Order: sequence, then C-alpha cells, then structure tokens
Amino acid sequence: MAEPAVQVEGLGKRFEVAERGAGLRAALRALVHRRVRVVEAVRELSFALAPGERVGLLGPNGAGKTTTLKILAGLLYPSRGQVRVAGFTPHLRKYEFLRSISLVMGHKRQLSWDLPAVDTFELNRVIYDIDASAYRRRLDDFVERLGLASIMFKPVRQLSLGERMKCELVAALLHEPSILFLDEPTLGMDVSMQLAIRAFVREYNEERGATIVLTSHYMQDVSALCPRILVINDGALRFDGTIEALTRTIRPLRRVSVRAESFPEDAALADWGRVIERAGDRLVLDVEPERVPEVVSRLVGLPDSRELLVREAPLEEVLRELFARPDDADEARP
Amino acid sequence: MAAQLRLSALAAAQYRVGFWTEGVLAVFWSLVGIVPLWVAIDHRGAVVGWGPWELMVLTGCFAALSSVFGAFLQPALIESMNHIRRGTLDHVLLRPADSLLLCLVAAFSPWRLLELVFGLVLIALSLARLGVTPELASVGVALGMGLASVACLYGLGILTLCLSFRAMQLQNLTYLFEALLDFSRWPIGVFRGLLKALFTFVIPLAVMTTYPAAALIGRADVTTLASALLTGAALLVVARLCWQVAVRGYTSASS
Amino acid sequence: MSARHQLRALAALWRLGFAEASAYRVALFVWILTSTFPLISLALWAGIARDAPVGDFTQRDFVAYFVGAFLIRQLTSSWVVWDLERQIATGELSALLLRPIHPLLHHLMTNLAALPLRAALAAPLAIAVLVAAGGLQIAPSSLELLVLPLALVGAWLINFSVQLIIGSLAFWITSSSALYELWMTCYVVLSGYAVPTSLLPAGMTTAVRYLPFHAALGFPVELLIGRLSPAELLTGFAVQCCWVVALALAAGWTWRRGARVYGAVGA
Repeated sequence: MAEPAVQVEGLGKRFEVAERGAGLRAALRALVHRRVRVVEAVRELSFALAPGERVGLLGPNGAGKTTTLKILAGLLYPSRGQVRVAGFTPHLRKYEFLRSISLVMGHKRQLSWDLPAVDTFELNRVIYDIDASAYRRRLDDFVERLGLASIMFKPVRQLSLGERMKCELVAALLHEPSILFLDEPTLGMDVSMQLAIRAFVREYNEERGATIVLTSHYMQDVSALCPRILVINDGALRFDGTIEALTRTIRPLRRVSVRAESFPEDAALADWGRVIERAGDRLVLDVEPERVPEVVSRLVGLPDSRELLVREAPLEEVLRELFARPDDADEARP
Repeated sequence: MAAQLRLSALAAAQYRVGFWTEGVLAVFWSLVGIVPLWVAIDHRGAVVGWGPWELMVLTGCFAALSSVFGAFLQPALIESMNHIRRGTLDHVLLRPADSLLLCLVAAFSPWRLLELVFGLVLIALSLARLGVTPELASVGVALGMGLASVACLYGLGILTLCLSFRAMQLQNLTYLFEALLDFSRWPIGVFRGLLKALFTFVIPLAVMTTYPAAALIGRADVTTLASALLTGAALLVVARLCWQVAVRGYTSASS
Repeated sequence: MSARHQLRALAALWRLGFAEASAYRVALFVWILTSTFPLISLALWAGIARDAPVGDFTQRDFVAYFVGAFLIRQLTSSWVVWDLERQIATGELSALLLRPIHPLLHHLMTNLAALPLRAALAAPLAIAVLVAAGGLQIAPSSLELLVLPLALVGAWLINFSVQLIIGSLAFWITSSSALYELWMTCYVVLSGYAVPTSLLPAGMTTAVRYLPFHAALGFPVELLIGRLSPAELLTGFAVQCCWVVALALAAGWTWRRGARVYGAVGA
C-alpha cells in the first residue's frame, strides 16, 4: 500500500473552558476570579486512511468528530500525538498542504455573503494558482452536474441553504484537492438536495481518486457514501470497519418482517426468534442468521403471507446500542 | 414588561465583562470627554457664558442622559434591529402587548447605570461648588426638563428604528445617533446658524442637556420648559406615527 | 509560492474587497456620516474662536485643521477589529485559514480596497463644508505634499496594527471590541481628533506628541496644513516609524500566539 492519505497516532486535544456559577453572587465573584475547566475533546485516537477511501466519522454530539476533522485540516493544534495528512503536518499549514485538501462545513461558509458565488470562485482560482483552462473546464463540469448556471450569479445571501451548499462545494473543489473533509454537509437540507450532494461527492471521489472523510447526522449519508466507518465516542475510537461488520458485531440478529392473515401463538414464535412487534396482520422478528432460511420458509407458509423482508438492523439502532454499553468497548473492535 | 427587564438584567449580570466593558468604560469616557471642554475653559475662562462648574453641571446632565441611552435605549434598538434582520420580529409582534413597547424593552445593560450615578454625583458636587441650593421650584422645572429630554431621546431612537425597517444597512444609524449625542456635552450656544437650528429643532440636543442643566443652575423659565415639553411630546407623537407606518410595511425576512 | 503568484493573489483579494465595499456602499456612507465628528468639532471650535483666536488657532485654522482631520481619518481607518472578533467568535475564520494565503493578507487587502470608495464618498462632504466655511487657506509646500503619502501610510499601519492586536485578543477573551473602544476613547482626545493637541496645556502637549495616537492622526493633519517646522517634521516621522515597527511586531506576535489557541469556542 502507498503512503496513507491520513495517518493519526495517539492524537489528543484538550480545551480550556471558562466556567461560571449561577446567580448574581457567582457573577460578582467571577469579576475578579476566573475558573477554568479542562475538556478533553479527543483523548486517544489512532487510525490510517488509504488514498481514495470514503470514510464516515460517526459518534454522538460532543464525541470529538468535528474537532478531529479540524485537526486533520490544520485548523487546530493537536495537544499531543502525531498527525500526517497527504504527507504533511497539518497545523504547519504549508502552502502545498492547503492546496491538497479542502474542508466543507455545513454551517460555515467561505463564500462572500453579499457577492455572487462566482466572485469567490474567481478569487480561489488566483489564490490556489489554478491554470485558467483547467479552471474553466472544472467549473463548467461542476456547474453542469449541480445545475448552478443561473444560481452562481446571484448574491449568496439570496440563495437557499441547498444552493449555497452546492456553491460551497464548488468553491472547495476547484483546486481539485486530493483529500476532502466534509463536516455535516447536508445539515438542514431536504432529501432531494441530500441525494444530489451525495451523488456529486461520490462522483468526485470515483473520478479523481480523492480521499473523502465525512461526518453527518444523517445515517443515510454515511451508509450510502462510506464503505468504511470510524465510530468515535468520548474522544476515543470505538469501532473501525465496514457498516456490515459493525452491525454483525453489535446486532448479529437479522430483522424479518412479514404480513399475513394470522400468526402462531407467541410461545411458538419465541422458538423462531425474538418478537419485536406484533400488531394486526404485521409481525416483526429478530432471527439468528443461521436460522433465517428455516424461519423464512415457515413465514412464507403462513396464510396469505406477503411483503416478506429480511434486513440487518438499521445503523441508528446499532449505534445507539453501541453507545449504550460503554464498558465492553473493546469487544466492538475487529 | 417588568419581567422582561428583570430577565435581561440578570442575563447581563452573568457576564462579568459587562462591568468593565460597559460600566467602567462609560464612566471613563464621560471623564475623558471633558478634555475638550477643559481646553476651551483653559484658553477662554468661559464658554458662551458658561463657567467651569456650570459646564460640569452640564457634563453631569450629559452623563445621566448618556447612561439612559446606553442602559435602556441603545441595547433595545440593537436587539430589535437584529430581530428585524433575522426576521424574528414576528415573535415580538405576536405577543399580546404593544409591539413598540416590547421593542423598547427588548434588552437592557444594567452596568451602564454606573454612569448615571456618576452624573448625579457630578451634578451635586458642581452645584455645591457653585453655592447653588436648588429651590423646590427649580428642581421641579429641572425634572420637567429631564422628562422632555428623555422623551426627545426616545422619539429619535424610535425614528431610527423605523428607518432600519426600510433598509438593513441603515442600522449603523444607531452609531450616528450616539456620535451626535456626544455634542450635547456643549451648551447649545456654541453652535451658530444651521447647526444651531438643527440641534434645537430637528435633533434637539438643546432640550436634551442644555435646558435641564440651565434649569438646575436657575437659568430657565417656564416658557423654555413649556417649549421643551412640547418638543418632546411632538417628537414622541411623530415617532409613534412612523412606527405604525413602518410596522405596516414590515415584510418578515425569509432567511 | 512565487512572488508573482503572491502579487496576483493580492490583486484578486483587492478586487474582491472592492466588490464587497461597493455592495455595502449605503452602510459605508452611513459610517462616513458617523465619522463626521471632526466637522461638527469644526463648527464648535470655529464658533469659540469667532471673537479671538484660541491659542495659536484662528477660526480659519480650525476650519483647515478639522477638514484635514476628517479626510485623514477616512483615509487611515480600518475595521479589522470587528471582522476578527466576529470571525473568531463564529468560526468564520476557519474558511480563511483553509486558504493557502495568509488570513492577515486577506484583511489587509479588503481594508485597503475600500479606501478609494471611502475617499470618493467623503470628498464631497469635505468640499461642501469648506465652501460653507468660506474656503481654505493652506498652501502646503511641495516637500510637504511629497512626504504626506508616507505619513498617511504610517498612520494607516498604526491603526491597522492596533486593530489587529486588539482583534487577536478575541482568541482569548469574549469582547475584545470593548477594549478597542477604550483605545478609541483615548484616541479621540489624545490624537487631535476632538481638539488639536497643541491646545492642550503645554506639558501635556509635549508628552502627547510621543504617543501612537498623535502619530496616527494629529501628525499627518498638521503636516497637511503646514503647521510643522522641518525639525518637527523629522521628529514626527521618527516617532511614527518607531510606533509602526513596534505595533506591527506586537500584532504579528499576538496573532501567532492566538492562532495556536484558536478553536476553543466551537470553531
């Protein structure tokens, strides 16, 4: 394997946060004395990403996802540990490093608010020293794929959230970064916009072999885009692997649902698997993987059996379960 | 209304920086702002008939007015303008109370009241130095002048707020207002011609500080009081009418 | 990155800044109105000097002085302190840090880019006031006109550096712009903005002339209206130079220290 696109070893990051008690007395006391609390946003993180991978960072709020992403992009200084991105140490912010990465944040913007997006594109062309013909070619390509032809000449403040994010993506990709960090890129967007952005990012990754690191609250974003996921909780790595592997470790059972005229008694069903839901003509069971064929054939045999579905547990539930049991963290590691 | 004020006072007290950045800074600015007056006195002995301690009474009046502006009016204006910009004024308009009053108590910076204390102490000290013991009548006149002064202040503030409905970029007008207010440190007599007319009738700085100070040192008569009260009332009425027009033209910002 | 590329990047930033300033022209104009403070001071002091000069300032001198102060203030001011405070508090600074060009260069160019527009908006006001006040009587020598741009650059750099220092404090504290107000409070009386520094009591005048406030406004104004002797001119430049170097170094240092702690506020 070539040199990893991203290599992180023993990364840690702590912040100092000022604290203040409630009430007027505490406020007055704080006039002279300031109390500081240390927050460990990232405790101990090690992983490596190969060039061209699409990786999702998952974790609850405050897990350290965004902090990690910002350290990788060179915005924050790590408190300890080694970080290499595209062969550079990010926080030194070398010109060549900044030219080979991009970070897009769903709730921040680089576009100038009162000017059309195309003005910022033009600025980036010069700042990133992009060859004029390459710039033209890429811009035309992006504009066509995202349907920006008329949008990019309107002042940014008049654009909708989704249109603005499309323009942000273009501004971030004009210099063709080999590593793209995305922090909640689809925040607050409707489903069709999410799909468009997902497809665009995937095409960019496949055509240019760029590494993509994504955080998102929408599990669909992650499961549709990222073959590999890193699960972070409390500033430490809880899982590294494919979604299937995670699901099988945490929730080995398959979820089988079916509709039928009538079902056997609960006692008989308990022998097939765990009953999750039983209402009217609908039944949902969790079944051991090796018993799925047998159970399915029995379900098919029920009177007026239809809409039979076998799937793995949804990612949201898997993660909720993973975070709900902090003690056996190591068990989840492959 | 009182509940709203108490809430913003508590919120402000939480921020220890406010004590230094608002309270102490404002008093410092009141003091430093005396320097130009002092230079004039240094070279002339008096400014258009106002002696040094009489000017200090005026400075005290200015500090008091500036404190009312900084503690009540300015924060409320800025907060309301933010509401207009973000389109959240909708929430204010929906509440079952007068929308203008709600806007005027939208925020409060209690630390700025330090300046009021400073102003009152300065007035008392200067009056003592002048050997003036204000009679009941002149205190009454001064209070009336103070009322007119605050009325003018609020009238102008509301007009500024109305203008910001028309164009977001006019929000800077609050700062223009603050900058102009600074000239009410000087007795109105120093201005001539157009500016004097401007500062007496359009932006009545005269009513706001010169008249109250004159009343305190026993130089004002009932006619001036009447005209001051009239000016204040007229400004408030005009401002109220403008507010009604402005709210009617309010188009809730979409983003 | 090559020098040529660097220059082209600066030019691109300038163009963007100019486009932004044009988009904000109404706000810019209101801002200029806000800084008409010297013009009202003019009316005030010209009024006081109507019967007899104040110190060595006649009514005419006050007109020249304050119109000069108004124009030079327009040409030497920046607003990076508010930009920085906002960008650090909201994390907008991240977007600038990600670009392969120094964020301070970005601020430098966008602030400079607004100057032509500022001058164009302010000039008519100044001319109108001059006409109303009955014309201007200054005849700066060619030498003074020659060195005036230098003094302007120095004054601009002092203002910009101070704003950078105070703006960078936002990396550690929440309301750095209040500190800037403290600076401005001193500036108003010590720079010659509200009253010419030569009218302050004698001892104070001498001391005030060595402070950065005077170097940032009073000095170029007095140079413009021809009130400086050659010796005073040289001293003025020397003082200004010292402040530019000291403040620029301090600004660079604060910025670098601050960038290390950036991000604690949810950037």
